[in-house]
Amino acid sequence: MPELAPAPLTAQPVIELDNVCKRYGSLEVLTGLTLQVNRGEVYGFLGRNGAGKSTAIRMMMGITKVSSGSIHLFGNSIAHNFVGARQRIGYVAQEQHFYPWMTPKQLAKFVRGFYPKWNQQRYESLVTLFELPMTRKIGNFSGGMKAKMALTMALATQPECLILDEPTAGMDPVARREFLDLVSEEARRVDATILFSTHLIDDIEAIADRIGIVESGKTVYEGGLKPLSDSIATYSIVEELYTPGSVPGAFANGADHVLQSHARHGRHHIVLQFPYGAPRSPILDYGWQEDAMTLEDVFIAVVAKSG
Amino acid sequence: MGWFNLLVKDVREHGFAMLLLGVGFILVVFLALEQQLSGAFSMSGFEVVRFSLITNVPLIAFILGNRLIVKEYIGGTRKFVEALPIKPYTPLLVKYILGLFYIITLCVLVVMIVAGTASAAEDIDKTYLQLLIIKTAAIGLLYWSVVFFVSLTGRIRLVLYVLMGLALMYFINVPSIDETRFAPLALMDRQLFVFEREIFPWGELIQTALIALGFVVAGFVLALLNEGSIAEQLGKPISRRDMVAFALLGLGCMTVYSTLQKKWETPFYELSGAQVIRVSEPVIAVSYVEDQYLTQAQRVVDSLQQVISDFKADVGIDQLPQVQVVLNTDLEKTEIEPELTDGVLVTANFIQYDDFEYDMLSSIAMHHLLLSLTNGRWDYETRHWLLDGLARWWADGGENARDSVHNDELFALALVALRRIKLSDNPLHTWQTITDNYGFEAASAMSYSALLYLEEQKGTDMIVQLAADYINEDIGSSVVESVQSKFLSDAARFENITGIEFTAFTAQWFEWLKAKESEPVVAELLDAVPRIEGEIKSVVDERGVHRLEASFSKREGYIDGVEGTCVLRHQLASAYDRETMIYTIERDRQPCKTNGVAHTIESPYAAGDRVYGLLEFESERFHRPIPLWVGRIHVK
Repeated sequence: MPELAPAPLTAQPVIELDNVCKRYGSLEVLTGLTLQVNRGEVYGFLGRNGAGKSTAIRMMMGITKVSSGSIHLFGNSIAHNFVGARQRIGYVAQEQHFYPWMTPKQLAKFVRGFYPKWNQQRYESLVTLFELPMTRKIGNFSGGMKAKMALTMALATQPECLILDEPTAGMDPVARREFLDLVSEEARRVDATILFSTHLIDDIEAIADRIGIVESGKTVYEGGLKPLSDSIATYSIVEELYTPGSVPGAFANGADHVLQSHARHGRHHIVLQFPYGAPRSPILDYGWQEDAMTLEDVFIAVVAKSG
Repeated sequence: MGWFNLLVKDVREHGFAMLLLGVGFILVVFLALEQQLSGAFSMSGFEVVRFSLITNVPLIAFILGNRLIVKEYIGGTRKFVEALPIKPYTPLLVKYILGLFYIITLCVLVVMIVAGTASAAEDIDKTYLQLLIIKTAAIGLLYWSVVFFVSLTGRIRLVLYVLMGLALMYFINVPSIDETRFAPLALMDRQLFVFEREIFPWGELIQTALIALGFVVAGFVLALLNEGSIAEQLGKPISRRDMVAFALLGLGCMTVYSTLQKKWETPFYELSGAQVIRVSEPVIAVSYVEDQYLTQAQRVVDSLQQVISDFKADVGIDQLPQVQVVLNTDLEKTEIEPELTDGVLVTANFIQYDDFEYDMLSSIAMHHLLLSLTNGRWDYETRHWLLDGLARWWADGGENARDSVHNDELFALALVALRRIKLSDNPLHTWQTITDNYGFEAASAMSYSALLYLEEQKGTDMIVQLAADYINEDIGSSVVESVQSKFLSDAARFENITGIEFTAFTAQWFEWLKAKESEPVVAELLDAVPRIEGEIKSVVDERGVHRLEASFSKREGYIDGVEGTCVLRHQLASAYDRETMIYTIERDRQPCKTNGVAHTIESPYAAGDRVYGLLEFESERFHRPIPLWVGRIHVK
């Protein structure tokens, strides 16, 4: 099991979840989720479908109540003033449920009364940027357009924190790229705090400062992307040369875990995890080679082990 | 501001539909008003309000609930709203208030429309109007609260509506339960809803509000329970399996209903047996139960045959419904119970009748014969006086009525009532109240005297013409004609036929009737009625026992030593009771003393009961007791 990397000591937490559990009767959706999102950072909230990401986000928004544990937003417990907290958060849900009869213009009229810092100019400029027709009914929008609409609305509230719950799900690659570019740009522009939930690691690879991986309702990793990718490596050897239980070299004795060990296409692959900052010698035993590993491979290895 | 935006959003989304529904509703109200004139058994324009509350208002509430609440859940747009910075109950609260405002506005509107239309014919004062508005609004509040809750049950809502409807029908039809004693049905009582003009039923109003509150709380609990997940699950679109289940349930209900309906069907009612006298022209049957009463039964047949034959000849009608009279020796001599069952069915105890009472029986039979002929339209309050008067006129001999030997007693009865009536209110406009307060006999005698006065002025043909106009009433061959006829008030119609302005006629008739006071026999009869007024009160004595107490006070012209007895009668108010129809046999007979309590009896009623009370005067000089006070007593 990977260690949880400590957050920077000087960090100002915007979102804090401490050992949060959520039960629906006998079903436990979250079993001890802990995470911290600091001011100004982009936090990638990773997990497989059904890992509990959306439930966690709904609890952060105060929509769903916590069974045990605590959630603090901007230093205050969510249980005390979720209305005030929501006014400071831009939220893009996984699925968009706008009123289909509304146009973007009517939507702005409706929504702005709820947000004291609503910026109509920003809203209009984003609508133009995303090429959303201001007077067309939202019911006629595609899924991608609706997600852009949601992001537009969230940004127009001038939020101190953006919470994006798998916003790119169902988008075509072009729309997805546009969307991510805008999020990235926004993050740079106002030094925004962003929690970006996704099961697609590519989405956050370029923009996330830190990530949290949730699996089976609890945090299995929280920290930087680089330490995570540096701590995990995959090696392979021709099946005939593989001795069961063997590792690529002496250095591998320092590994914390064998995350995966399996045969595929005539080669045997093992994925090893090393302690953070541990030295890794490049000397491999005969026949072994280190394979290239994407961040997605790392993610799969982590969640596969936890699962 | 958030709630205001939600309100504006809902109005924007549903405003047009609400407007259309409102316009449609008003049109239906106008059509119902139009139908009111031509419809069966209509007694007041305000029956349209009650009709609307039973039919249109719940339908509109149902449609509104579907749009405002169900649509939000099925469409999933609730999820959008729930993420906005507002309390979770705010969107629902806004919807509830908007729907409530709309429904109550419609309710008030229908009362105002009917009041505006009916004011041409009916006396509508501020208290009466306030009473109708408050009762109507309370029912509207309840409807919307029920719909609010049921709408949150999503796809099972239709089943819930059906089950609630069935439960209500069962509750109404169980003979052992008097549903009009319970709110909210007590507010919808057929008689009291329309004709109660003074007493605000605060208890029932509060109970109705509390029931409504219960539904609202249940709705909010359901909507917020488990963070709304239960309502969300219920709000999902109906599945094919649900539809099959509902269809089977519906089919089951229809099968049960049709089976029961067949079972409930009753054969055409016709008296048969050895102790029945039957004549075929006109169709009359009198059942006399035992052979010893054959003579009296024959007298009833003769009397009815004479009256109905005269009527047929006068008005020129060939076909009449059958008139059947049944002897019931358990009834008191003064009790006559008429019904419209496959013609006219009158139950009475006629074994000791004299001529006056045979005519009374005939007049009641005629009253219902005329009602049957006009499909109940003559029940309408503004023309009811004419119905009562004509029934008595034919019973007393038609064109020979002016020479009837009963006239003195009838004039005296009318004059006794006239002494107590506020002459500023035209009694012919508030006939139901007159009947309730002074008794059917006095009301009938008053209207009879009015017709005798008219006959004196315009001749017998005018009376017949007036009757024929209502019997052969042209209700219009189209909606437009029918609506046009609606704007002709009964007073104007009277003027068109008789050529006498109605108010002037009323004033002249009063004077004519008052002049009868000086006629020796009438004067003697009037002196035989004590000039007293009384009241019944519910009190608790020093031992904590509930009692009913009545006392009398002297009125102007009081004469001491009038022979006769004062009687206290009482009965629990229940469905279809009219205030003067008290069926209990128990009577407390006492001297009519004016110093102190005249009647005091242990009350059989409990706190909260509503009781009809009646104080009468019995004298050998009159065939019927004379009501001295009629009213409702709320047992505290």
